Amino acid sequence: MVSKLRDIFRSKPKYVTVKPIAQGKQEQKAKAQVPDNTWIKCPECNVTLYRKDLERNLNVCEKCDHHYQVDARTRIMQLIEPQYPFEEYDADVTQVDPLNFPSYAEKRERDAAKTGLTEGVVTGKGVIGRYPVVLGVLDFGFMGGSMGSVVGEKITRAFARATEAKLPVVLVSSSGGARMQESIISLMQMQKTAAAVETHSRAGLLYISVLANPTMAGVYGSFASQGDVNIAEPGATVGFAGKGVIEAAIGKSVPANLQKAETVYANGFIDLIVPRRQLKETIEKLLAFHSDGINVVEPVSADEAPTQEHPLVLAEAAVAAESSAPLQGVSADEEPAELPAASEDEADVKDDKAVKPVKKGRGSRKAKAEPVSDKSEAEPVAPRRGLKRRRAT
Amino acid sequence: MANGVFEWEKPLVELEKRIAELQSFTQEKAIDFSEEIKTLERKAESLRREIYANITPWQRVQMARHKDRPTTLDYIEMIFDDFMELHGDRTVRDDAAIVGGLASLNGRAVTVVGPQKGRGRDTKENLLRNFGLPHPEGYRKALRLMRQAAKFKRPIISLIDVVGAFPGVEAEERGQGVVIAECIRYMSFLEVPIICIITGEGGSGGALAIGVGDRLLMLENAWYSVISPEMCAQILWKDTGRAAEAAEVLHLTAADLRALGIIDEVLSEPLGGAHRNPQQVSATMKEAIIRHLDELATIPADQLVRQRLARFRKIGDLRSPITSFSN
Ligand SMILES: [Zn+2]
Repeated sequence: MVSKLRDIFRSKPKYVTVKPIAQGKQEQKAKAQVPDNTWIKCPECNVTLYRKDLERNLNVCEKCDHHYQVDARTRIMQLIEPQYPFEEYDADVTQVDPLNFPSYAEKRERDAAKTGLTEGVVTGKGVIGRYPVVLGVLDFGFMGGSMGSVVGEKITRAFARATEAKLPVVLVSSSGGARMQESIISLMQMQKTAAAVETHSRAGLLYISVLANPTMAGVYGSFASQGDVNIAEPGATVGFAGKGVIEAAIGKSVPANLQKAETVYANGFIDLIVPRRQLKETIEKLLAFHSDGINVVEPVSADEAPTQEHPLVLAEAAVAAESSAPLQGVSADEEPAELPAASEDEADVKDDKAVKPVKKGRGSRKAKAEPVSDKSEAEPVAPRRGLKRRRAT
Repeated sequence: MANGVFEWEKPLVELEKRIAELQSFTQEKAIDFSEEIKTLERKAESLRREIYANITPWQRVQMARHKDRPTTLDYIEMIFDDFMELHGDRTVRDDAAIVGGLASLNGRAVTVVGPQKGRGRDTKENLLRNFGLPHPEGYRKALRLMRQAAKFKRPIISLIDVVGAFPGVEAEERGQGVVIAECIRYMSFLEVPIICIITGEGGSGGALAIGVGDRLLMLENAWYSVISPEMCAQILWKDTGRAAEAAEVLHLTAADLRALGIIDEVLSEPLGGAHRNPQQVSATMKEAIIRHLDELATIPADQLVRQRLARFRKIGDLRSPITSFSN
């Protein structure tokens, strides 16, 4: 049994996430339930939900409180004030396949097409309540939210920009861990991101880490566990080693709730478990506690708010119209093994363009790859006067 | 593998045995076999070249896991003129799967840390060491000792040989992921020279947790990857039997990682692996440690940290993309 231990440990996926190990029955069921039809049956309580109602309820079941996964774009819209622009960072940062890894390029293209994202994380600057923040959201639909060089680089840059601009960071994780297909390069992203957290921290700045389902392995073991305040969503799976790996290593089954957010909270690694409906106000409150009172925007009341829809809302509408996009990111392992790679043209193109977002109307207003100057970033984001004025006329 | 001899090196080992026999005959019975010995030695030499010139990544992984491969404590014993092990994480317990303490390197005080596998085939020690798979308290101890080193301005030598952090119930309950993150985070900023040497296995986050340094060196037959070849094969092809192929695509060998710019130097091993001549490997390691420490000693502490951060920062920095790596 003893000698088996090592062998078993080696033989099971632990750290990597293209096909994340099942995160438990609940989530598996949820994954199977990501239809784009109008009625959705809740995997937890079996009640039938109208899709629009579910979306209105932030993708949480009204009856049993089951928290569905949400994609990065939706999450950003749930958190930020729509009347202020979301300036996306580094959307143009892509790198295809540094090690020529089998079927990696295809998977990236497939998930880029599926999610409309260039990579597994969206970062940028937005406003939550009255507070400008750097916001990052991992998207589980893009290769299980796994961290390769692009995700690591974008998160590192997000922290670096926040440090430079003296802004807090809010980072929502949903990831199986480091990305196998970039091997050692993915592993090293753990150092980059953890060091970026520390540099930001040394500047006396606030980092709120939100752990959504699931937050595992190399992402938990680098930046996601390191918030000044760690907030988890109810029922999220949070941990380092996958359940299957643990069971194989110790030769028996593990308690079903071992890596449930509520258990990890009880064990002392999470500050708060916050239902999605209260997430935004909780973050706002935390930002208020840490605010210097200077770096804030003027409140814009509802009747003052611009009529023009937020770019992300427009993008979402476009997606819905084009493809009746799925409600949430689907994990890679629930999909048929062979998905058509959009079109042959796309599959052949290996440069950045192939994985650029197909949606219009979102993305940055600034030159993204260029370092942002201290001054421009340090200034509070002013309400978009242009919009206001247009409304006034 | 039988008696510590790999299938692929059997013909050579048998030949070597035959030569040794003839040599002892020559001595004991005063019969001159020198001609035969010479012929056999020539044959052995060409066989040796043939076998080890074409060694595959998977064969190296197996060499890195060889039961007789020197462990961290073996290297410590051979490299340093004195060693005092210190224990405990001051929170939970002492984890024997990671050792650490004070050492003297030609009279220079350093701190040494490293995962510790059971030596040889000793079942009892293997159990004590949890097969070299550390719990959070092991990593917490390592971080404590490294911070202590920074306080007293001692350089840190991290000897890395670990398949991975232990995947267990208690390990999760006590925050395996959190402690690993803290190790990586705080090790990045320690204001003393840090030399990391992958001596055997470099398994993922469990290795990186003590692997952030100013110099990353690697023994010739060690491996370092985000995932073990078996797990990778399981995910890619649902077949752990294809680990050899996975070892290729992961680019986990010292030579590959040198080409990728991840490590600074490959330390050569005797033909057949470190277990064939532990003294020789230790001497190679010692020479490299002293040489790099001398270099690092001239760099001011704040600059050292900046350089350390910069070396990692550029890995996957897409403003300067890594050139595509093809087989
Ligand atoms: Zn429900």
